[in-house]
Amino acid sequence: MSSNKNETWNDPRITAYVLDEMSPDERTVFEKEMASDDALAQAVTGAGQVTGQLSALFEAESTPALASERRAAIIEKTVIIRPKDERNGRRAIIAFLAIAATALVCIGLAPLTNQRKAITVGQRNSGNNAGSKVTSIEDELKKKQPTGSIVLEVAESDTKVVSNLDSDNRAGDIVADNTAVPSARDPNQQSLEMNRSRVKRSRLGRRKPQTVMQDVQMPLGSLTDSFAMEALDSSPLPSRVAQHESGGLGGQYRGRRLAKPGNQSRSSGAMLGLRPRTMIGKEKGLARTGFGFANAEGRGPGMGGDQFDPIIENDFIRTADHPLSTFSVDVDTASYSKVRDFLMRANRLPRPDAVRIEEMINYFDYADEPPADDAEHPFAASVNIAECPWNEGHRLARIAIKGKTMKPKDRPACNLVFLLDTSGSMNATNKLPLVIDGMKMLTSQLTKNDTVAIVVYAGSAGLVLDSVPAKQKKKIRHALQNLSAGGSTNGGQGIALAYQTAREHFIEGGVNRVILCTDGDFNVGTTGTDSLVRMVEKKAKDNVYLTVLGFGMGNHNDAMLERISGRGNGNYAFIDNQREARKVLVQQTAGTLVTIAKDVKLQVDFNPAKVGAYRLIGYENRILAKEDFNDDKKDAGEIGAGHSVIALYELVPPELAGKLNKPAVEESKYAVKGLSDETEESTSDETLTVRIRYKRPDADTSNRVDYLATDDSLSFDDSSIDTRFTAAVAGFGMLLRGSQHSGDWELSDVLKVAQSSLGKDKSELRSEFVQLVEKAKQLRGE
Amino acid sequence: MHDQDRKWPPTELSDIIDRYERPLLAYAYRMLGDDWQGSQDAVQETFLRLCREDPAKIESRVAAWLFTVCRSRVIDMQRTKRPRPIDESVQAMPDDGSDASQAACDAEEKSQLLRLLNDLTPRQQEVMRLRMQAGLSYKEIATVTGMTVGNVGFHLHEAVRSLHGRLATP
Repeated sequence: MSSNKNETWNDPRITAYVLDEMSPDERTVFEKEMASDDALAQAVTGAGQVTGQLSALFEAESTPALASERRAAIIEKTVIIRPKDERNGRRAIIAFLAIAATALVCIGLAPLTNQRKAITVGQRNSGNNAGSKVTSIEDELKKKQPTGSIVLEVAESDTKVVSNLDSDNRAGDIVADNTAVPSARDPNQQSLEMNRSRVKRSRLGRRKPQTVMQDVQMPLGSLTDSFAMEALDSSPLPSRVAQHESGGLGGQYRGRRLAKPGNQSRSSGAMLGLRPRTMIGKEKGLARTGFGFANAEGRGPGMGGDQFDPIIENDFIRTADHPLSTFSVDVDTASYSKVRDFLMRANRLPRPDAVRIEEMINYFDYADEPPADDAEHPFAASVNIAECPWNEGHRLARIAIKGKTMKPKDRPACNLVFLLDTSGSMNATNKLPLVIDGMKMLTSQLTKNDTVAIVVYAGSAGLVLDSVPAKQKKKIRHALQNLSAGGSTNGGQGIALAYQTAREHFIEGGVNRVILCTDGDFNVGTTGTDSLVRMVEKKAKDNVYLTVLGFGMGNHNDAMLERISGRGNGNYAFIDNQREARKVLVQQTAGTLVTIAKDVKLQVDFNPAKVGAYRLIGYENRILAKEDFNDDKKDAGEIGAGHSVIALYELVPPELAGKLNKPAVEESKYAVKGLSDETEESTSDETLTVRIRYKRPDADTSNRVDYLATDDSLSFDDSSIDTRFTAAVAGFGMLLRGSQHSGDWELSDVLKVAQSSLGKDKSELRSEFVQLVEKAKQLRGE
Repeated sequence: MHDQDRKWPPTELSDIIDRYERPLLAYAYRMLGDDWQGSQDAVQETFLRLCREDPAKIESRVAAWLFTVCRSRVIDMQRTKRPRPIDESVQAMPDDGSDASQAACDAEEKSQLLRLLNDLTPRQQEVMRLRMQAGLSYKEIATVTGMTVGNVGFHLHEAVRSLHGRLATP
């Protein structure tokens, strides 16, 4: 019986029916089914009870409205009218004023004569002492200021005025001074007194004192007209009426300090038009007990569960202080896929620390020429300098390194160990199933010379498939197919076993690589990032390389995976979907598997005569000390076959460098002077020199190669498609990071430049980028 | 934003605020834990963005637009959230009026339902609130959350189903 019942309940139409979400046709069909199926009808009744209770619950949770000054701030935005559309605007003002005041105070502005005026109607929390500021409005009224804007802040918003007048006569008093107050609800003695005292204070004396009672009897029109005339005649007056906060706490919600009925602050509570505050208490309880989405931490993307290292953005550096800029290459692309997953799948803006600009730039293919087959170095490099699109006067240097390409038949034999995380956290459609698909894709790319082993780790690590030739595809597939997720994650043990397996089947002169697929949520065994990183670093010395493929969201430990792959002579990609798996594992198999150069470091030497200051965009976690450049013991990034590495520098010409908000460093008085100032090089046309140091994959000593660049004053529009697209990606990254260096760029500029620099876009990656920008724009409400 | 854009007529804007401020605030409040100031910030920001938008472009989908923008604002804020001092302005006030025993009974029923709501997944809670409190259609919820319409229906149904199951057998 219960299984039957469960089956009936499997139908989401039950809820759709109860919530009235069906088209008439669907409804008819469903009702027929219900008539012949008692269980279904019962389920519908049950669902109806649940939704009924829920809506009662939600209804009872009264949420107060926005604080009135917040509302005013919003309304002000629209009511300020430019001269060009004043015609419509005037009508709008009238309409708006009518609303603001309908409850009691009717303000008509029919005889607006002087139209070149903007009127802002704001609303303030009016407190008990509202009247005390009235004199100031009168003073202001007398001063005729020629600039042309009338700011008239009406004391309260619509409904609030009601309570205002009912319970707080002094607030009403202001209104009475300027307009009619058609309220006879509470014409008590106090109000009369207040009005009288108010009148005494009036210095304008244009109108006779009126009691509230009198106001009611007055025809509205005449008074409102006279009010409007008066206001406009007396011209602009930025003045404030009535903004004393009751309760003296300041802040928007202070007025309702919830006191016992009857005493004075009762009226202030009523004035704010609040419902009783019991509900807030309940809401608090709700949130505390975890109904709140704060509980979602660790489950949703972008919440606490995803771990990213904070990125501190590179700042501008004065060439005079530090003429050398040194960093390690980074061919990872994980950040871009991660950003895409945030935007497109989770429908959210990425966390700023998830955005590594260099990884976003390096995600794309560029048309930079790879080296010739017989070239001395395994990569080609080029530098070009063009106008910087987001900061006027600045220049943008694009350094491009392109690894030599490799055809599948030229690929050396590969000894691969798939190290797969099968812990419980991998049990999601975008995790383990995607891992299995990805590994199948990769297997299909392998040739008869290659071997594959599979190590899994959950609570403990285990060898699922000892190294077999890759041509035994069935066996490999079968092993993959039978994996299932469960248990905790002993990542440390898994990594150790995988490296050991790789060592046992080491291919001299071939590719020996561990491919780690995980969400990075290591929670058993060696879990400290530092100790894992040290372990991986040690293994990497044995020429076993590491590829880290990150999967899934929620508890994705980006920070750890980035560091492990960086230290382990590895690369790191984030696989968010089948397409990305195909890109990394099929289209770029060689790049992912075959390293053509390791420990690749760049050092850029700037000519102070040409460059006053510079800023490396991205590569924040890859910066090296200048001494590290020539130190072959210092580990750095790898370049795979066909990989592109792009670095962007924003350059500030010497004449603009003074504007940077950074004091110059004191020069050492002991420094040898005269030598560096006027060398042959500094007077040359060279803007900068790029030095690249790298090791061949199996070598222990490095080679160095230099490239010079001069600035040909290229404008941004005339620069190459790739330069422009790179700039668009960098700009997007900066905007997503909330960078202070994005100058005058907005997402719409990114979009424009990206759309104009799609190029051939065979892989359609650039069109996808355009979609990402559009999505971000939409999410930001821009 | 741009000069050629049409502006929102203040009456219309005012109507929109009246209609959506409470559902938006309730939604943001829940998403932000119990940060009342924060949720006001988010909602104000949402409306300010609305002001900058050309009405013609979003008139037909105001609700979904508002919740989408509010949602990303809230998620932004969740990231930068720091511990806050207790907000004195948000405190309970006795509810005068209803009979005490009736209130106790109602409260018990409600608190049970609340407890059960807690056990729903965050996603289920979110769609439930968007539907039952903000009154968005399945399609609008799909736009706001980036799910498919079918998926929204599924999550809502799962939520209702699980609540029903547990209300019946406590």
